[in-house]
Amino acid sequence: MIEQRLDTIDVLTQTLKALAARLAEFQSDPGELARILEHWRFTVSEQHQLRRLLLNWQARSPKTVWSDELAALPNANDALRYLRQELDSLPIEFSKS
Amino acid sequence: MINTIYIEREIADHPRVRQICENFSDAVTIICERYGEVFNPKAQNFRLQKQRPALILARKHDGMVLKTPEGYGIGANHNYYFSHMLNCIYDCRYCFLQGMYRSAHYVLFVNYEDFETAIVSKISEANGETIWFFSGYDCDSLALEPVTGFVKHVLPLFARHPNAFIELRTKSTQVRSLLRTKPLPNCVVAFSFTPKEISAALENGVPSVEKRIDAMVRLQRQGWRLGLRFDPLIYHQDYQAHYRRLFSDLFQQLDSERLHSVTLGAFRLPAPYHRNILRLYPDEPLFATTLEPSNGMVSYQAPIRDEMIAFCEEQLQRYVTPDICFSCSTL
Repeated sequence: MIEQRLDTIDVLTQTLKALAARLAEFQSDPGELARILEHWRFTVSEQHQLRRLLLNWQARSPKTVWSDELAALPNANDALRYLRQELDSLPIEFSKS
Repeated sequence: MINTIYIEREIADHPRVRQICENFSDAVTIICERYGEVFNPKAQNFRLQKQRPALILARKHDGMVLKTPEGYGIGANHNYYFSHMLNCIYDCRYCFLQGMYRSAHYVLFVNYEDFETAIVSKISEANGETIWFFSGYDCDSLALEPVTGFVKHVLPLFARHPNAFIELRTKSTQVRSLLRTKPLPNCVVAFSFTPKEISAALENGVPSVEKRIDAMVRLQRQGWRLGLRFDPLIYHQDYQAHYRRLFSDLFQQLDSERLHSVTLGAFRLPAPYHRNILRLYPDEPLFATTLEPSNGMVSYQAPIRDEMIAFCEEQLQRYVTPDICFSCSTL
């Protein structure tokens, strides 16, 4: 019986694979999270804040976060403050997706 | 458009169900016991489902007509809403439905007569006082009208009860059935707008601003009372120029003296819905701006909110009198 339905099963599998890939795409960590986590020591709470800030950054700017100015900051707290300020200074714009 | 239709067993032979299924003859139909089996399970992803939503045909058993939330209304003391449908065919990124429901499937309750009974009961309770019913709360009132025929069904009730008002709120241009009907003085067709730049970015599937204005003009010419809804107002870099132009485009073509009402409200979401939506759309610029919690809602910071509402109110006063302008104050 399964043998007779292999085509249907294949279609279903492909559909589910495509959906899983799409889901993984918008649930993945922001690109520069790992690099920043390696650079400073973040508490768990700060890691959550950092993840949110980087997601917001990714949503609003095509530019990378990492810069010499950021890298020169002494600790995680200052890095978070810097990211917040940079985000606040970005203009709020929407473009057709 | 609809590939799958779930049907509750108890209404499988309902004439409306048969007719709707005929309209979607290629769709796969699946019988279920209660719509909640399909609509309510936790492990669903609204964003993925929105790519290909199914239609669920169901019977609503209770809670047909509910009181509106505090601050929702246009001047009357008795305000109710009802939802013959859950979810909307459009995909507006700011919509609270994304955070309220676990499923993006459309639910259509086919027992229209029970809605009528509930509406009449509320009208009786109002003892002749003005009472408002808002129909576009959990869905767009007109977008699926060619399929549902709900508005066509319910309007004669309001023709018999002149103290009861109905607001049909829409972003659609599905006005054909209204244009074939004699206008009712107690029915307001309210169109929601954001500037075309925002509409293009955040209102997926919604007809263009121009097409909606055209639909309004046709309705107004025929004598229908119209409303304008600028809710949510979306803050962005050029919001003043964009809203100024939107108002100008609208009032160049509409007769402002015959407008019923204009409402304004800044973008806001109940906090739990905002949390859910953020999980679904972490890549959405709208939610990546500075929003802050206040009284269980999440919205722009107060100075931004106040500035935006004051600006729009001031602009609107160039076209309409203040007595028909209402601000939604749920914050």
